[in-house]
Amino acid sequence: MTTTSEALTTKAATAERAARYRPWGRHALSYLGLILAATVVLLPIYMTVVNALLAKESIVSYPPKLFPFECSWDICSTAGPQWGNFSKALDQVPLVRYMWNSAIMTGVIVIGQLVTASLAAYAFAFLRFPGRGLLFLIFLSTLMVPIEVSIIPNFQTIQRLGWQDTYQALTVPFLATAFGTFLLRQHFMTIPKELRDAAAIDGYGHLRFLFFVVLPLSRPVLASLAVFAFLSAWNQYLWPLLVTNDDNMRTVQIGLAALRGREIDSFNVVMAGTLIAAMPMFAMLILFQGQLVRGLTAGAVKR
Amino acid sequence: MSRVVFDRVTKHFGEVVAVDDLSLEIYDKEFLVLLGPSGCGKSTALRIVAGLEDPTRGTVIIGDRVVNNIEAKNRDIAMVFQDYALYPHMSVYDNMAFSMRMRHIHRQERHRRVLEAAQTLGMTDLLRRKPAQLSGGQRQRVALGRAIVRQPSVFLMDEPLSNLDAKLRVQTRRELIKLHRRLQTTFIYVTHDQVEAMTMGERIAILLDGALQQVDRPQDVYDRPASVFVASFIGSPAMNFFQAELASQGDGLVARSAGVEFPLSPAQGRALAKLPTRNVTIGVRPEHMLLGEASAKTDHCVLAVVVDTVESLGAEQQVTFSNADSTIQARLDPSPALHEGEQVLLMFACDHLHFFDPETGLRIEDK
Amino acid sequence: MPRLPVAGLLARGLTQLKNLGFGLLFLWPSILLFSAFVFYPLIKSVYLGFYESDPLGNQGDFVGFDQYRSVWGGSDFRHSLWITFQFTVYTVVPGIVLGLGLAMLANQKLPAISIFRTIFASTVATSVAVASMMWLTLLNPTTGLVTWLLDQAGQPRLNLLNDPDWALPAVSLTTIWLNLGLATIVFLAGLQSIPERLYESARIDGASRLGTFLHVTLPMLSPTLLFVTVIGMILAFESFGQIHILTRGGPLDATNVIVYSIYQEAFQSFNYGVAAVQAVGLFILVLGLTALQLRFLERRVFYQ
Repeated sequence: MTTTSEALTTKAATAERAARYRPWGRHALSYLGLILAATVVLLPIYMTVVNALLAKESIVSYPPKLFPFECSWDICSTAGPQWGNFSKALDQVPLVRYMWNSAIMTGVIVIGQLVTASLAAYAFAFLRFPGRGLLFLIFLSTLMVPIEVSIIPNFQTIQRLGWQDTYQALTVPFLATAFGTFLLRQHFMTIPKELRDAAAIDGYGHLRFLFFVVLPLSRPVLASLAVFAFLSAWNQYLWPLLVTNDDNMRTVQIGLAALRGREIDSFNVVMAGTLIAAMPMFAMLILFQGQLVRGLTAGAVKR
Repeated sequence: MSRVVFDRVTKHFGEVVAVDDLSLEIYDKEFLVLLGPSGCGKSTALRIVAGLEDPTRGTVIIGDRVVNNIEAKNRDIAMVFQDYALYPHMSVYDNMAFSMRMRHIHRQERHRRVLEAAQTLGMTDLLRRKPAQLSGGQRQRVALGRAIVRQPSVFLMDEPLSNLDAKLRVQTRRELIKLHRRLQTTFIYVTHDQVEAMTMGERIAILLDGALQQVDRPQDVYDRPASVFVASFIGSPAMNFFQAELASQGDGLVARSAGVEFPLSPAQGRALAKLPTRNVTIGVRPEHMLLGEASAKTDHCVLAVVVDTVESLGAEQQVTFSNADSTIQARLDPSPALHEGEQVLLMFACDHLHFFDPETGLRIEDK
Repeated sequence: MPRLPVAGLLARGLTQLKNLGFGLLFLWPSILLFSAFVFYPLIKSVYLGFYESDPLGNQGDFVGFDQYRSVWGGSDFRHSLWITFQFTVYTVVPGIVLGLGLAMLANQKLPAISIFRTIFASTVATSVAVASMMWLTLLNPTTGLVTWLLDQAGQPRLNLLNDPDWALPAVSLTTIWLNLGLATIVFLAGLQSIPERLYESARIDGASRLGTFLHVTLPMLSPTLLFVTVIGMILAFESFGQIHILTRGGPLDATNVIVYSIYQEAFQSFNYGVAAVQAVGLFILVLGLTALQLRFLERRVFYQ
């Protein structure tokens, strides 16, 4: 063995030791950045939780309290966490009724969109008829029409039909979806022609083919569309504001906004109410994150 | 100096051992092929040299430096990936010039090197195109060009030919050999294709499950495979194997397998006598078999076999025989043409016998 | 034998007819809904613009293009456009920068990274109303955290939502936060579609982290960036909820974006004619801007 080899051996030993420590430093910095970013993103939610648990006296304090628990510091609450605020919110505000209205509206819209989009996408993907291309473009063009343009005449239509304060007004205008049709059509077009031929030989008509072959094969896309439709429907604000006046028919978004005028001094109860109203969406996110991501990125990313 | 040394390199991915205590020296200016089946660790070993993976244990040396802690960009290597990894939004010219731009090399020098590489590879007319407008073979040349302009000490290639069609592959193989001769630089080439390995490598290093099986010149790997695995991996169709038992006969030993007796030369007998048990694995290559006559020579082994299938390739026929309990493949002269069901005698010279320990699979030297 | 070709043509014609029949059968719900609630309103809005409305909201006299001219030329409309433009810039640009930043943070291969991904995406689960209420807490002039932070930074206790200088930034901040989850999700998907090999190649080529970002990440992300920019702009032009809850278009019209202005004209002043004109103006604007963006930016976008 030459001296170069000996020198190399000691170098190797140091290299090995250094390699073992290197990953730690890199990772620590990354985690720091992540935690910082997460804190900033969650701050509004966190402060809402804190305020929801504070007693009436604490919410008017300055600087604002950061912890709903008792402790000796300024940023802590003077009483313990007020879990009672949540039941107060449910008592003072018909939150359950609001959420129920939202649920019905959203449910009908989601199912409606799934049905109309499936049918329309099927026609565009599997049926050859004259004017198909043009009609599809016309469908897509509806995506370009902003709600402001349609809102006044639609409101007048609802008035004429006498549908104010009804579930029909909340749901019917949104039962068709160009985005959903587009999404499903893209997916339907990936279904191999051989399946259609085999189904035709087996005697399947269009409806049966759609129901027993196409839809089962499209479950992930349907799920993505459902989650996406759920989010948009639950999130609606301007339209429910216009077509509902009766407190009984308000959706959770409008009901929540109306809180602002009502219980100004019981801000903590308002925050508790906000949290309750936010629950369903957060549950959706945690349960269906995958489908959600897929639905949202349909247009943005090549897959 | 651009030799590359693996010094007891091991790489774990969680539970999986991808590279197992690999020690291998690749000489300066050598064209070395890392050969092995999928998952044998050859690509991982290459990536460790490149600096894309850190070894769990062991040292990697390029030239005379230990490079374990040196970033990929500073190791003076260039890599050609299997799927070329060209920047899709840049022209061929920009793809090739990219690394030099990152190193702030002057524009004139960049231009010179790109043109030179483009001329070597015969693609000066492609410089303005984007990768999407190129064929597979052209993209591969761009990937090569990108490596050449870096003027590295070591070229690393990860199965660069596998995405090309057969004819292009053969042509590119020859071009790569010429390129190596011209550039006079170390090439480390990874492949699972033994034909590529045999035709291109100055030496072949065969890996299995992350461990080095043998490293030798191609002819030596063919003539003296170090293990059953190497013997069956090199050569197509693969070597025939027989499980035999040693028995005394007269002055020497004889090996007997179902239906055939292998007479052993004194040297072979001596080597085999050292075995702990009386069992041995014998290998014979299909190309060393002949159609035999009953009056065979004593230093030939003779087998009675039945023809199973015949594949006629014009210049030869590849015949599968069955005998008692085994299947035997042979490459024979095209005539006499054989037919299914025929009973013939098969013959091979005892020089062409390979012996392996049935427990370890390792070669038993008989010289 | 002239019989056979005719039979063929008939058969084909019949299939076409059959397909058309089925097509219409499957499409009529969507066609009906779109006609009633998208296309008819579009035409009706244009039509409404031609008529003045009386104080009770009934259709008044025909005024032809005069109303269009007066509204579009009026200072109110111009002011709304200006506010909307500012709002768009305040929300889209930081939205992209922050969304991309969070996505890049969340794209690292670290243990437990999925928790952070969910956290960064979480604002997609907050509705407009929920987000606005949450920010009401933060922006509260007496007890809000943002107010307190600004106080520490030298700005005296501000009533952000009632201050004409701060109202629009405050609403924009809420909107940025609201859309952050969506931006992160989209950018993260975009980042993950970039092949790892390209990064490895850049590593060997000697690209620094900035170099890799500029020459590999950004170009490969260009379709996603275009998508986020166009969608972001459209969303900004349609933002209503947070303005209604936080500032009601004030103070002093500081946050009176076009949508809110239309709402006020139509449903508080019952001035349907004026509102319709504003709506049509907005439609043309959005269409034009989108077309411009697609024309100019798409050239720089690289598709694989």
